[in-house]
Amino acid sequence: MNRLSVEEMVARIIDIEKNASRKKLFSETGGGFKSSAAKINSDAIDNILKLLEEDQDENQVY
Amino acid sequence: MKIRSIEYQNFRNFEKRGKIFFDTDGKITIVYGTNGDGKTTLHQLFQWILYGRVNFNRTTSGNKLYNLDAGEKLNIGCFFKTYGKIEFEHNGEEYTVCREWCYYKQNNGNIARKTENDDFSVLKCDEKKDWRQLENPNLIIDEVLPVGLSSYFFFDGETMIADLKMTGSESAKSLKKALFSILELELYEYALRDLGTTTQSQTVIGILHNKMLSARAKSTAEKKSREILKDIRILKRKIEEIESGVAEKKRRIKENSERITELSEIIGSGKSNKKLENLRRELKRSIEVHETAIKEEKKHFGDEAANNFAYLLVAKVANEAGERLYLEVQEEEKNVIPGLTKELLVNLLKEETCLCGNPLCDKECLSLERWKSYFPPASYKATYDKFDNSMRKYSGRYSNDRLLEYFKRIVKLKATIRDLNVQIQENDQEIKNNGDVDLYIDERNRLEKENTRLSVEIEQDQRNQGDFESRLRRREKRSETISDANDEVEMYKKQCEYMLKVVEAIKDELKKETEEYTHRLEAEIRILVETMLTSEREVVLNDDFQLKVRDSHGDESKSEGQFAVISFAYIGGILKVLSSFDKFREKEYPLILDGPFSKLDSQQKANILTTIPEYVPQVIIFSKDSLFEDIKEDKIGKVWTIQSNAEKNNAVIREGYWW
Repeated sequence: MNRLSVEEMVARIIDIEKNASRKKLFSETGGGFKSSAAKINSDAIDNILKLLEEDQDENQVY
Repeated sequence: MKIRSIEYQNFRNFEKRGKIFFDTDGKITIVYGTNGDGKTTLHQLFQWILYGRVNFNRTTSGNKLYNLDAGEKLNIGCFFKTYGKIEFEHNGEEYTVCREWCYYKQNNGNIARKTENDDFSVLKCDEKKDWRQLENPNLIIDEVLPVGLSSYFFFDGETMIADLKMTGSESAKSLKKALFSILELELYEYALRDLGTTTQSQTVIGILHNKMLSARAKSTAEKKSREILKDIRILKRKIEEIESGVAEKKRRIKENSERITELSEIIGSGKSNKKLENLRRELKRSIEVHETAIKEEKKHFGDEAANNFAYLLVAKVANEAGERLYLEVQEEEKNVIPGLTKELLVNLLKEETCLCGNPLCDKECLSLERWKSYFPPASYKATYDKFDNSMRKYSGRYSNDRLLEYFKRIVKLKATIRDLNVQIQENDQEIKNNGDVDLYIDERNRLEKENTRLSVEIEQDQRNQGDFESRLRRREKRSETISDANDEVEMYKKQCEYMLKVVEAIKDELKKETEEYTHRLEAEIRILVETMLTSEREVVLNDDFQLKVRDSHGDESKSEGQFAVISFAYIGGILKVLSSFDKFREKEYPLILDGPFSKLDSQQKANILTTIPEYVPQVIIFSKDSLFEDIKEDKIGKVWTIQSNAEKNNAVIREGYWW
C-alpha cells in the first residue's frame, strides 16, 4: 500500500523531472559534474523507483 | 535572457571583425541602416550564432554565409572562418555563445564548407569569474530561448508573417514544443516518458512489470507458465528493439531532411537554377501526393478485405463447392433417359408393374429408384440450384475482383511516381549542367534515397510491431490466469496498478494546465490585439497554441500589417502569461525586430511602439527610418548605424546616429 496519494506522487515525480531538467541544463565539463542526457534520464527513473520503494508501507502484508 | 553584445567577422557583408553592445536596462537599442546595408544580415547573425541556421527571406539574395570579398581574396587550398559570438545574461548569470564555420578554396576556385572544422560552444561564468565550457550547447540554447520560438523573438517582418499563418504542421509542432518548454508542461511529458508502459523495459512501469514477471516465474513450477513468461519477455524485447530502431530511423530522416533543405537552398541560389529547383519542388510534391494516394488505396484495401473477410471466405468455398456440384449435375444429366418423367417413375414404383403389365422385380425397382433420384428434390441439380440461391443470398457474391482493383490503381500510381522520378533525374542533370553544384546534387539524391528506404523500413517495422503486440497481449492474458498467490508478485502488481493511476493523473494534470495556459494566453492576446490593432477581431487559440484571428464574418485576417500586429500580440501574450505566474518570473526573452513597421499604418506603429516596451524586457530594433519621433527620448538607449560601401557588399557598424 502506498502512503502517498496519487496527487502527492505526481507532485514528487514532477519535482524529480524538474531537477533532472535543470541538471541537463547546467551539466558542466571541466571541473563540475559531467553527465550525459541519457544518464540523467536514467537517474530520473531510478529516483522515481526509489521514491516508490520508500513510499511502500512496511507493515503492509499482501 | 538579455543580450549584452554581438561580435562578428566574415559573416556575409560584415568582413571586418566588429562588436556592438545592447542595452539591458529596459531601454530600446536601435540599429539604423538603409535598404541593402545589412540590417537583415545582422538580424540573421543572431539566429546563425544561436541555432546554426538562417531563414532566408525574399529580400535576401543568395545564401552564402561567408563574406564574398574574403572568399575571393583567399588562395587555393587555404581556409578562413565565419565567426560570431553573443554575450548574454540569463537568471543573473553570464554566458557566451560562439560559433565558427570553416570554408576553404577548392582547386576549381569554388569555396566549400569544411564542416569538420566548425565549432560551437557555450561558456558560463562561475562564481570565481572563470569561464567554463558547458556540455550539450544546443540543449542549453534551446532551454534559454527555444528554437521553436526563435522566429517570434527574432522578429523578421516577412518570415514572421508567413509563420503566424501556421499553415505548416512542422511550424505548429515546433511552436507547441517551444511553449511546452517555456510553460514547463514538458515536465509532464518527461514524467510520462519515464513512467512509460509495461512493454518499455527501461521505464518505471516496464521495470516494475518485469520484476513482477520474474517473481511470478519463481513462484510457479509449471513448465507451461514459464514458457509463456519467457515468450512475454522475448516479445517485449523485440517490441522495444523495433521502437528504438524506428525512433533512430525517424531521427535520421529528420537530419537528412534538414540537410536536404540546406542543400536545396544552396543549389537553388543561382539564378539559372532557381526555376529548375522550383520545378523539382513541384515534382517532389507531386510524388508525395501520389505516395499519399497509395497509402490511402492500401488502407481502403485493408478495410475492404477486413470488412468482407467472411464474404470472401464464403464466396471462395461456395465457388469451389458450386463447381463440384455442377460437374455432378453434368454427370447426372448423362444418365437421364430422354422423355422420362418423375411422375411416371413414381407411378411405376407405386404399382410395382411395368408398362408392359409384368410385375417389376427388385433389381428393376432399384433401377427406377436410382432414376427417380435424378429428379428434384433429391437430384444434384436441385441441390445445386438451392445452394446457388443460398450463396447468392448470404455471400453477397463477393468478388475478389474488387480487391484486385486496388492493386491495379496502386500499380498505376507507382508507374506515375517512376515517371516523376525520371523527370527529377533529368531536371537534376540540367542543374548539374549549369555547373558548380554536382556534389550537392549527388549528396541530396543520396539522402533522398536513404529517406525513402528508411520510410519503407519504418512501415515494415511498424507492421511487425503490431504483430508482436497482439501476440504479447494474448500471452499476457494467458499469463494472468496463472495463480498470483505470492506476496512479491502481488506487491509488484499493486505497484504497477498504482503507477498506472499516477500516469492517468499526470495526463489529466497536463490537459488541465494546457487548457489553463491556453485560456490565459488567448485572453492576453485578445487584449493586446484590441489595443494595437485598429480594427476589431475575434481571437481563438486552440490546444496546440495555434492562433486564429477572424473578423465578424468569420474570415481570417489576411492583411500583412494585421498579421504583423497579431504576431506582436502573440509575443506579448506569452510574456504577459509568464509574468503572471510566480514560477515563471525568471523567464525573460529579448525581442529583436527587423524592419517590422513597413507593413503597418501610422496608428498601428504608434500603438506597437508604445505597448512593446511595457511587456518586453529587452528590445532591439533594426530600422531604415528614424524613430526619434516615435519613441520617447528616455526610452531610447544605444544607437548604432550600419555603413556600407558603394556596392553594398561590405559594411561596418558605428555607434551613434550617422545620417
